[in-house]
Order: sequence, then C-alpha cells, then structure tokens
Amino acid sequence: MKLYDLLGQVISVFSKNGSSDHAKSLSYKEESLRDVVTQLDRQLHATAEEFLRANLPQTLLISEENFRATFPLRAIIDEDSSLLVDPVDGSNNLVLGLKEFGFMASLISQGTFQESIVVLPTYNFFIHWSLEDGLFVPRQLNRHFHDSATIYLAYASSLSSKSSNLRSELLSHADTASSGVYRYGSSCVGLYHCLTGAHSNFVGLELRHWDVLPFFPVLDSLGAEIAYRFDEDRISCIVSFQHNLHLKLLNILENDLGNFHAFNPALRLILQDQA
Amino acid sequence: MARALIVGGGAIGRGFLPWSFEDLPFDIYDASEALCQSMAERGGYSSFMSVEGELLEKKFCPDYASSKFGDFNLDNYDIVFIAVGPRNCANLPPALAKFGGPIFSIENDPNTVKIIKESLGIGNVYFGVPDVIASSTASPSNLAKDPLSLHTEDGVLYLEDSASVGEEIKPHLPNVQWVTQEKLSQEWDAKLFLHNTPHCIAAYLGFMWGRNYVHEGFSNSFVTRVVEGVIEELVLALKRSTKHNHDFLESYADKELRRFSNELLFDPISRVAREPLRKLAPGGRLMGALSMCLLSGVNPVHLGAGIAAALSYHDPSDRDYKSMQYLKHLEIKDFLRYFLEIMPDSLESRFVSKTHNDALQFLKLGLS
Repeated sequence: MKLYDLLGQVISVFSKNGSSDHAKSLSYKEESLRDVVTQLDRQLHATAEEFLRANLPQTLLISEENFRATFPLRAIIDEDSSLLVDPVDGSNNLVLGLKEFGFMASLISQGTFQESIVVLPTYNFFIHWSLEDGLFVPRQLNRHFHDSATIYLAYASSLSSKSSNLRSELLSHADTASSGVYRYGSSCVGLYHCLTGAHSNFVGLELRHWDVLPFFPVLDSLGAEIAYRFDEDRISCIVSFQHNLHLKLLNILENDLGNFHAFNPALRLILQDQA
Repeated sequence: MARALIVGGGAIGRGFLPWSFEDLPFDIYDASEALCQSMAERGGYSSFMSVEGELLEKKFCPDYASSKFGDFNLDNYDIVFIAVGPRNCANLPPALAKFGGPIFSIENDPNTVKIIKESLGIGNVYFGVPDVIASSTASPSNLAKDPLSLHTEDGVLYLEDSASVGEEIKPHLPNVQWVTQEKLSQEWDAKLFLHNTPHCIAAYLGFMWGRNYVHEGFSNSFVTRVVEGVIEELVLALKRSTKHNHDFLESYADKELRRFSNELLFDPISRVAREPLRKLAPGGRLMGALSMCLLSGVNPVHLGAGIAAALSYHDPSDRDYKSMQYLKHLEIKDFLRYFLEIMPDSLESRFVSKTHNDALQFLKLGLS
C-alpha cells in the first residue's frame, strides 16, 4: 500500500496542530462564508504535496486547496495517477470547536480507485482501504443499524435552481420516510456515520468530488449501495444501507437530475459526457 | 450422572481443564472441525502434566466432540466451561443462552464474563482463574506419538463460588478451589500482574531473540534479568496499591520465574505473545501494570522495556500483524491513541513515548 506514510503524517499533523488556535485561523474562499479555509487545511495540503514529491512524484495532486476552475475534473479520469485530497472536510466545525471534521484522500488511476484513507482525529479513528488488501480499521467498527436511523443531506453552498427545488423535495420526503434529516457541515463525518448506522442514507447534491469520492470504496467494501452522477465539476450521490429507501430517494434524484451510475471501485468513474 | 461441556478445545480447555475432573464425563465443542474429527478418530488425545520435574501422561477421551453446536443437547450438562480466547467470547453460539446451569469463563480476562452475559443475554456466567501455564502443543517426541497431545503445568483452577453451582457437581471437581469474589480478585490481580505480565514479556523477549518456545528465552541471562525486574516492579506496585497480603504476593512472585522457564512445557512463543494489542489494552496486563506502577511511584524500567518488546512483535501469522505494521508509519503516541484509545496526555502514553527508543536500544544491546 502506498499511502501508509501519508496516513502517518496526516495523523501527526492533526496531533500536533489540530487544537491550536493558529490551526483554526481562517480565511474564506470565493467570498462564501461557508467555504472556510483554515491554517490546518493549508498545512495538510502541504503535507500531501510533500508526500507526493518524496514518494510518488509522477502523481498529480488534486486538492481542495489547489483546485482552480481551469483544472478539469476529468484529470482524475485521464491521469495515470492522481491523489484527490480534502485536507479538512468540515473546516468551519474545526473553527467552531465542533468535533465533526476529517481528512480524506484517494489514490486514483485513470478513474479507478487504488487506495483511500480517511482520518477522523476527534474520533481517534482512521480508515484505510486498498484495492489490493481491502478495508482496514484500527479498532472494531461498532455498527448498529437502528430503525430510527436518519438521513444525512449535504449540499453545495450555492445550488442551481433545479437542485434547490430538489433539496426541498428531498427534505420533505426524508422527513416522512425516516427519523429526519441531519446535516452538520462535514460529508466526511456524515459518511462515517453511514458506516456506523446512525444514518441509513447519505444524499449529496452538487458537491465537490473530494467531499465524497474517497469514502466510496470504503462504503462499497461494507456493502453500501452507491449511485452518483457528475454534472460539470459537481457530483451528486446517494449512499445507502437501506435498500427500499435507497430506491425511493434515487428515484427522486433521477427524476430531477437524470440517470445516476452505480459505483464499482473496479470500474472507471463515469463523467456525464461519457454516459 | 453429572456431565460437563467444554467450549473451546485449546490449551486450557483440552490440555489443562480435564485434569481437574474426577468421574466427570465431558464433551468438547470447538470451531475446528479437523480437531474434533481427529479426536473422534483417535479416540481422544494425550495431555502431559509437568509435576516436580517429571511429565505425567493422561489419555482423555471426550464422549463427543463436534464443531456444530446444534449437535449438543444442553439438557445433558450440569456445567459449562468457556475457553475460546477472550476475543471470541462475543461470538459464542447463541444457543448457549438456553443453558440454565453455571457457565464459567476461564479466560484471562474478567471482562469476558460481562461480554458473554451481554452477548447471550443471560446472567448465569461466572469467572474462573486457571492459574496455569498450558501449552497449545507438545514436545516433538510426544507430538510424534500423538499429534493432538499437549503439555500443561500442574496448575490451580479457581472458580467463583455461587449458589447456582449444584453441590452434586463439586465432588467431581476435587482440585478446584471454590473461592469468594474477594479471594478471586486477589488471585486475579496476582495472576494478571505477577504471572500474565511477565509471562508475555518473556515471550516478546524470546521472539526478539529469535526463539520458538518461552523456556528457550531463559537461556539468555538478559531475558531472565528483565523478567525478574518486571516481577520485582510489580510486586512493589501491588504492595503499594492494593490491600493484598504481602506474603501472598511474594510467595506468588517467587515461583513465577521457575514456572516460565520450565523446559517440559514447550509453550510456543506464538501462543503466549499472540494478539499484542489485546495485551496492550488499557487496564490490561501491560498498560494496566504500567499505570499501576506509575500511580504507585514505582519506576517501571523493566516493564517499559517489556512494553517496547511487545510493540516490536511482528509475527506474520498473528491476528494483530497487520495492525502492528502501522507502527512503522505512526508515532508511538498516535499508534496508542488510534489503536488502543490511550490518549497522548495520559500517563501511560507519555511514559511509553518518552522511553520507547531508549528501551528498544536497551533490548537490542542486551540481546545482542
């Protein structure tokens, strides 16, 4: 596995800097109050950059912190090797002193997943998946699938009008078909709680690919149903451990957005222009 | 007629436990179909007990052995013993919940009683301490005669006395010490910290020195010195932090080194050292011992070296092997935090982080 050292370095950065005030000092991206960037985001981005330079120099870094509009989404399909990184998913939670934030990264080769790591420092937990060795977690995952499980809804800071209406429709459906909708500003932690069973479903609307993709092979290895679609540089998706609700929610999503694709880590990701 | 069911046909369940029985027929349930079939085909197996420098042999013939729990009629039994290994206690056959008599967990962990009670939803589970070194294998010559043979020490089985143990069963267990919870707690502390802790450290040191059996490590005087040091540190810590009788602690400690180095036991290092993460868990034989030493003002130099040896254990056939590989990529304090939930600001983490490299150096020099 190639990302062992990156995992160790990320954990070390969180341990040394995660709770310092300096790590929480922030700025905003794209003039959106929801797109917070902390010093820790930059530090972890630099860690990934340095890791690639030293270990995988031919690998392209695609990180939330170096992403530009000119940087095409399809690089993850075209490149022989790319590392997709979200340095701190849930940066604003870090600033606010909430525990819902984490690091995610995936090593992707021409659109197929090779390896993923997820670090959840406030849960003292990490997840390491590789195509070769499957899933590894440092301690037993306590999974309890409750009848009262909830649905996690994640959506972009500025939704298209189509998705804006869809969000209302999903909220209304989720409120009647489940114990309710949760959102706490971190897809990473939302997906983790899909694994633990606290959320039966995760629905993402027009997210950035680094917000969710690294978690897909992890969830798939534990039997989740995953469907996704790319629209321009955004991804919408549904992750489920409850089949019937999955079908209902997927139906709503597809009615509004068009066909979704079933995720399979062994198959190349499908961009919309290839569908 | 009284009858026992042994769940788990390993070193303790098959090798030691039946020596405690008198006119008590027993059956064995074990997850290994090959083992059960082999016992049936061979009409039992031999267990060798080391008594005062000699090996006594006894052939045991369970009436029935199977890997299918549904084959056992639980109405036939008066007592059940669980010896499956602590990590397997949460996954016992659910049908065991139908057994109404006493179930004794003779694992090396009192938490297993709680785990079994919770996983099966029952209350009739009690703790037992098998104060014994029981090997999961035998000497090459005895294995040649009987591949199922095992070696064991002449140990003592302490069982928690309870009203649910019928008086009719006790005469069939003449060597068992039936004790109160308080006495069991004293025996458990002694077993955990004066036996289990130095025993597993002896195994980790033996592994570092490239040996296969625990007794082989003691031909190196450095191993002997470190294990003695661990015992001395723990006797002092137990005296300072518990109300246990000092004479009891000292006499218990005195015999330990002799037990570990018993050349008749052929106890594999891979058995005694297995699952190092379980042994490093908070409150357990290594970190619990460390915490007790630090809180009672004992400087655990030798114990710290033993913990460093445990953290260096990397046997590819071990269940924790993959986890231990992460230690190459994580700092010690992060490894302890993510794998064992021992937080970096805890006494244990701070001590281990601070002393680990020096301890490893000490071990390498001593074993070279």
